Order: sequence, then structure tokens, then C-alpha cells
Amino acid sequence: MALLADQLGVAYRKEHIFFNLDLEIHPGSLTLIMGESGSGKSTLLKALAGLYPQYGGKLSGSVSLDGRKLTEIPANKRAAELALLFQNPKEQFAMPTVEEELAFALENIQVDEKNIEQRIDLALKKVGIAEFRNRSLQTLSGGELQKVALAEVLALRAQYILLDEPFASVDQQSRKDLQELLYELSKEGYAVVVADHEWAGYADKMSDFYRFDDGQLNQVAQDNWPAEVKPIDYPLSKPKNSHTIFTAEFLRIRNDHRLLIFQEELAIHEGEVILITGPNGSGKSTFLKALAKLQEYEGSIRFEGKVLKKWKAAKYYRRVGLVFQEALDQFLSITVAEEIEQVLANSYEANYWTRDRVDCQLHELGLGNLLRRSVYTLSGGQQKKLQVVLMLIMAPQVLLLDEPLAGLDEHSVQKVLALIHHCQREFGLTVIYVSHQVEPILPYIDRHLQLEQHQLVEEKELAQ
Amino acid sequence: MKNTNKWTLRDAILLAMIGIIFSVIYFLMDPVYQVLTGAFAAVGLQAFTGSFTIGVWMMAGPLAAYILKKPGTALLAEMIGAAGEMFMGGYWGVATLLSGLIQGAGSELGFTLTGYKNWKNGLWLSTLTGTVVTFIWNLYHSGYINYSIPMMAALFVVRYLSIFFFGGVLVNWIEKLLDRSHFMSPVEEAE
Amino acid sequence: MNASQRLYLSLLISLEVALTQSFTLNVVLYVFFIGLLLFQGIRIQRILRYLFIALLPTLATFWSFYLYSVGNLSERLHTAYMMGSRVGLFIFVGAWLTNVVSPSVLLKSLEENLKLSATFIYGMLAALNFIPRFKQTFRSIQAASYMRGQAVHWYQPTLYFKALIHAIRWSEMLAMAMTSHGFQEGATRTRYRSYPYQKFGFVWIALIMCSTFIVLYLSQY
Repeated sequence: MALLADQLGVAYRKEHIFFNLDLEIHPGSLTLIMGESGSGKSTLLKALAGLYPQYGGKLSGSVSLDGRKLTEIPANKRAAELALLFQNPKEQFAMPTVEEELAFALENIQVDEKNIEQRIDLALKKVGIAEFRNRSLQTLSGGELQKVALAEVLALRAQYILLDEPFASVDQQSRKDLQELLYELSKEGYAVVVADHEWAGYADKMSDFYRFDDGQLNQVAQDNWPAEVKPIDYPLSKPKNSHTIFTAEFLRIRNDHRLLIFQEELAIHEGEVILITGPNGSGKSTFLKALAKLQEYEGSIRFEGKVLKKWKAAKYYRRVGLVFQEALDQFLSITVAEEIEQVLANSYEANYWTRDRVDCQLHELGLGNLLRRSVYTLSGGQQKKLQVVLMLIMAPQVLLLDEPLAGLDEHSVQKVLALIHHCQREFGLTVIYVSHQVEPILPYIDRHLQLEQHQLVEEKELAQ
Repeated sequence: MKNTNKWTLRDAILLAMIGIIFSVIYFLMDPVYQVLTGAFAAVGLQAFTGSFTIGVWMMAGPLAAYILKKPGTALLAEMIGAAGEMFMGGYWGVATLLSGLIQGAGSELGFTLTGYKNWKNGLWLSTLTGTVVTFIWNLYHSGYINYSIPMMAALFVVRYLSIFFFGGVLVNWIEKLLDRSHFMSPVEEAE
Repeated sequence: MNASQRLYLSLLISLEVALTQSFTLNVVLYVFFIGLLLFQGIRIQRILRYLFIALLPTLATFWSFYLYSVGNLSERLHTAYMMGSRVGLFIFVGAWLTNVVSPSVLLKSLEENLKLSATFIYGMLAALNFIPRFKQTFRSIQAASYMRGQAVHWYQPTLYFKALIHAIRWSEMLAMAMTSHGFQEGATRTRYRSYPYQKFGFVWIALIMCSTFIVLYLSQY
């Protein structure tokens, strides 16, 4: 009785994500696989869930479930034994309401009408969301959606539950609730496998711990598990005295019908480098989107004294640029070279960005040999680096960066940060970071804003 | 993408999404359409609003067919786009569904005439069949038959130009970009 | 009538209206469908809103045919009345269909009644959830483009290409999720809710259609 990966490998576009990987999962266990985003743990979970080669990845080795090869079990039988929860809670549902969604899954595995009713009831109760039954999925928050996804898997009675970064857009309380729930399930005999990049909350619940780096899966003995909380020593904020470029007043930002941010006032000054931190799902990215005019809000945000809503898009985006969290949102052309040419032709710092300088930076970041490649086939890390370079060549006065270090190895993280700060000083940019990788950024920042209980707060040096 | 006639779930979702992209675009373009209608209506030529913009409406079908390369795709994509627009609360109510059916059938015919063998010729042919079929439909549905012959001829020409540009040139261009991006095929490319 | 039968009636009515030239029929149907909407319990404000939406295209259509259609003044006036009244009628028939029937119920009914492929039906249902995502995406594409000092225009391929890139990625994600939830192309599925044809539905459709033929036969204008 086990889920067994034997010499498992996945290649995508002829590039090995990982290979020769062995793993054994038993019922009644909670396994954590920790790795940075972009490390390939998503791919590993999809392979364990039997989604390759059907969805593109080239498989080597095998995954077996209680002695049967996973690829030989049809999807509608597999789902009753093993299921996967996806990273983006919004991209895993087919139906408009909770009940319809669960019914859809149960119809697939051919449960009859009467039992569907019963199973939906039970599953929703178990997860504690019985009252959501007739709710539209569009009205639920990230945490609530992941609970629905979990209920769906329980309704299917899958004993093996795989979760791919399930808390990425889930608030802190829901994260705790879900972790507790997963722990209980593992006690009841389910096999739970979670891939996550964050360590908090697992130590007292898990039975196995793996680190996933560079395509290698390494088990960590219990003695070497990291301490539960690793406090970060933030530098005190030193706001600049330069003129304010952003002011927010009585700002309320909602997303999915939940209040994320209520900020009475906030001022951001020209030339500041700011890091915004806060728990997952607390609204950091949403705040950046609001500054980028891509998110509805109440109250006021002013840029250079003028209310954001009154800024014409074309003019505003000359001044304020965003490195999107989702790389696909950033690109306009096809090849790396075309993208570079496009920004060179439009750069606001054209004098600085000579071809030599650009080439030099591209090589420094390991993009120099990829000029003819389509940006859409680059790895996640390469796409991130390219995004940052493009926006730095553009050099808008304000640069918002939403998770610019995701999927980068340590070496690249340093290079990217060095480049950003070289440009920041050179052009006097105002830079606002949202990042879950905090420590490498600390040496560069002027201010640190912590988003807690719907407010951005900072610890300042006491004024003289 | 491989030219197989078997529909996978992924293909079906992509097909539906292509339909939806265009229903959203049209929905967002409603203000543009309103302004055009207003402008043309002032001189009583509002029939030209439809003829000018018809091409945008006729993109979903050929684009889906050209990407997915399966029989029936153009018809289905166009109908999904129409249904999507109707449910979003679009402008023309239930007439959208009928138009979707006719427009889809018109585009589909072009690909059918090549026996679903040559998709490129099919695309150019579909701009012609699309124009002819939708024009005949509009003779009755939009009452073009009540107009004088020169007016009808003008409407036909404008319609063809619009469909030729949006449903042909632009679709071809989009497909070229997609092809160069290698996003759909896990094929190795030149370094 | 179940959802499929409602769709059939809507399509039959609009086909009939599109292929006939009777102003009387349009007026009768106009009143009939507003009556049906009121019977459905729709708020008066809603109906007024539909009328408001219909106003400009109705007037524009009327004006255009009044000026440019063939025939003498009274013939042109008839054409103009007839074409103008169609616009609002189509909106009301559409409202009658979409107000009580959700896309998911309609699609599932069609799957059951017409034995359509589950792959297509559920593919469509899944894609429908992404309508709001596409709206956001268009905004992001526009913003990303302005941030690079370039405008996106609807007559250029970038907008469509980028939307397509998202569609391809989402369709793959969704298909994977649905596969993980047990969806298998071509496999037998059970039914939690059933949407059979209603017995008297077709009788109603026949009655309504016959009545319209009688109106057509009797009406002169």
C-alpha cells in the first residue's frame, strides 16, 4: 500500500526538470516537500498525480499506486484514489457553484444520484463549509476555494491527497485551519503530500520532510528540521525627505468580497526603496495592483498630487511601471531580442542604455545566449530576469516589483538585486518590492512596510 | 498542433475560450459600436456600422479553426462566442445566437471546401464564404433586401473588406505570432 | 418548458421574425414577451433598462430604412417600423431566455436532451468561469503595453495573441484539474440532476408558433 515513484523523471521541451527521483508515500502520513517557486516541485506533484505524459511532460521511470502503474489507470478510476489540489485556487474548477462542482467530480467517477447527495453533504461538513453548498465559486476567497477543493477530493474519497502550493493565495487564518485539517486527515489514514515554499506551521504536524533543490529530492532527518519561527531582523525605516509622489487616504481595497486593506494614510517619497511584507493572501500584490491602476478601490490614491483615476492610462504608465507577478503578462513580442529592441526604442534612459551596456547585463544575467529564443519557452527564472531587465531599460520613475525573485537561484537573486539598485541610484527611481524572499533585499531598502490586520505599518527611527 | 480529429478536453476548453475572448472583446467594444452607430445613423447609414465591424465578429471561427485544425471548429467557436455575448447581456439579445450560427457556418464553409486539407487556403476561402453567407442572411434578417442595388453593392464590398482584414489578414498574423512563440508545441527550437 | 425547449422557442421566434416582414407580428410578440417577463417576476426598472438599451439602435435602424430603403413613402415607413421593432424584440426574447436559465443549466440540458458530447459541454462550462479573468487580462495587456511606451490597438494582433497565450495556459490548467477530478473523455458519467424535456413544453411551443402564424395570416401590415 503505497504511492511509489521509481527513478521518476520529467522532461519538458527536452529540458529535464528532474530525473531519477525516488519517493515513497504511505497512508497515514503528512509529507512536506519544500522548495522555492520554480524549483519544479509543481511538476513533481503533477507527475505523481498521473497528469504526465497526457499533459505534455515526457516521463521516464514510473509512478505506481499499490503496485499498479499510474499511467495505466484511467482518470475516472484514478480520481477515487488520488487527487491533486492546484496552486491557483481559481484555475481548478469547472462549474459555477460549490454543489455543482462536487457533483461534477462525483458524476465523473460514476457515483449514483443518491450517493452524490450524501457524499457532498459529508465532505462539506468535514471541511466545515456546509453553508457554502449553493454559493457561487466566484464569490469565495482563496482560502475558501481551497477548502472547496479539499472537500471535492474528500467527496471523491481519494486516499492520496497531493497539494501543490495550496496556500499561495490563502490568508493566514485559513492556512492554519487547512494545515490543521490536513493533519487530522493524515491521522485518519489519508496520505497527504504538500509542496510549499514556506515552513511555518508544519513542524508539529508532518511525518516526513523533503527539500527539493535543483531537481534533487533530499530527505531531511527530524533532527535537522529548521526551528519553527525564524525571526527576521528588519532594519528600521528611514523615510526620505524628498517630495511625496504617492499619497493614500482612507484607502479601502477589497478582493473577492473581502476587505484586504484599510489604510488611513500613507505617503511614499521620491527615490525611496520600499519593501512590503505580510502573510500570504493579506493583499500585498493587490496593493501594488492598486498603485498600478489595475485594481478597484475606495478612498483616494494620488500620484504627484493628482488622483489616480484622473490620470490617463498612457501618461500614467510612462511614469509608473510594474514587473508583473505573472511573467506572461509582461511580454509584448516573441523573441528575447525583439523584446530588448522594443524597450531600447522606447527607453526613458536611452542615453545610459547603450548597446554595450545592455549586452553586458544580458550576459551577466545569463540571458546573452537566449536572444533568438521565444520568451514563451524560457524557464520561469529566465522569464523573471528578462522582465526585470526590460522594465529597468524602460526606467519609469516608479518601479513596482511583484515577486521579482520567484524562481531564481541564489546567484541570480544577487545579480538581479545588484542591477536593480544600480539603476535605482543611477536614475533616481522609486522602487517598491513585494516579495516573500525577504532577506536578500534587506540591505537595499529605505523602508519596510508590514501589512498586518489590513494596515501597512512601519517601525521608524525615533525623530530627534 | 497536430492535425487529428479527436477532441481532447484541453482542445474543447481552448475552443470555448477563443469564443469567449471574442465575446468579451465585442462586449468591451460596445461603446465604440454605439458611437459608430450614432455617427452613421445621423446620415441614415447605420447599416454600414454592422458591415464595418462584422470582421471582428468573424475572427473567432477562422482563428479557432486555424489553430485547432479540426472540422467543425469555426462553426462551434463562433456559436460559443455568440452565446457568451448573449449571456453577458449583449446588445442584440437572442438574435446573437442566430448570427453566430450563420457567421460560423459561413466561415466553416471555406474550410470545408478545401476538404479540411489546406488550412491556409481554407482561411482565405473562409473570408469569401463568410461574406457571401452572412450577406445573404442580412438581406432578410437586417432587411438589406429593401435597399437599392447600389447601396447593397456598397454594403457587400464593405463587408468583404472588413471580413478579409479581420477574419483573414489579422487571423493569419495572430497565428504566425503563435507559431513563432512555440507556446503550443513542446518542440525544440533554435538557440 | 425546460432550458432546451426555451432555447428552441427563442430560436424559432427569432428565425420567424427575421424571415417575415410583418410589423403587426413584431408588435404582438413585443407585448407578449414583455408580458412573459413581467410574469417571470422581473422588475419594471429592468424592463425600462432594456427599452433604454434598445432605444438608440431602434431609432437608428428606423431612420436608416426610412431614408434608404426602396419603395414609396408608405412602403419605406412600413419597412422602417418593421426593422426598428425587431431590435427591441430580439432583446426581450433574449432576456426571457437568459433571465431564468443559467448557461450551466442550458448546457447541461442540451447535453442530456440532444446527447451532446460531455467533453464539449464541460469544456464550455469550465471556460465560462473565465469571462471575468479575460476582462482583467485585457486591462493588463493594455497596461503592460503602455508601460513599454506603446499602445495596443484592436486592429493589431498583439491584443489577440496575448489573450490567446492566456487561453492556452488556462485551458491546460483547467483540463489538468478536471482530469484530476476524474473527467475522462468519452467515459460514461452518472447524473446528479436531470433536466428532461417537459411534457407540455412542446405543446406550448406548438401553440405559440401556431398563434404567430395566425397573426401573420390575419395581419395586413
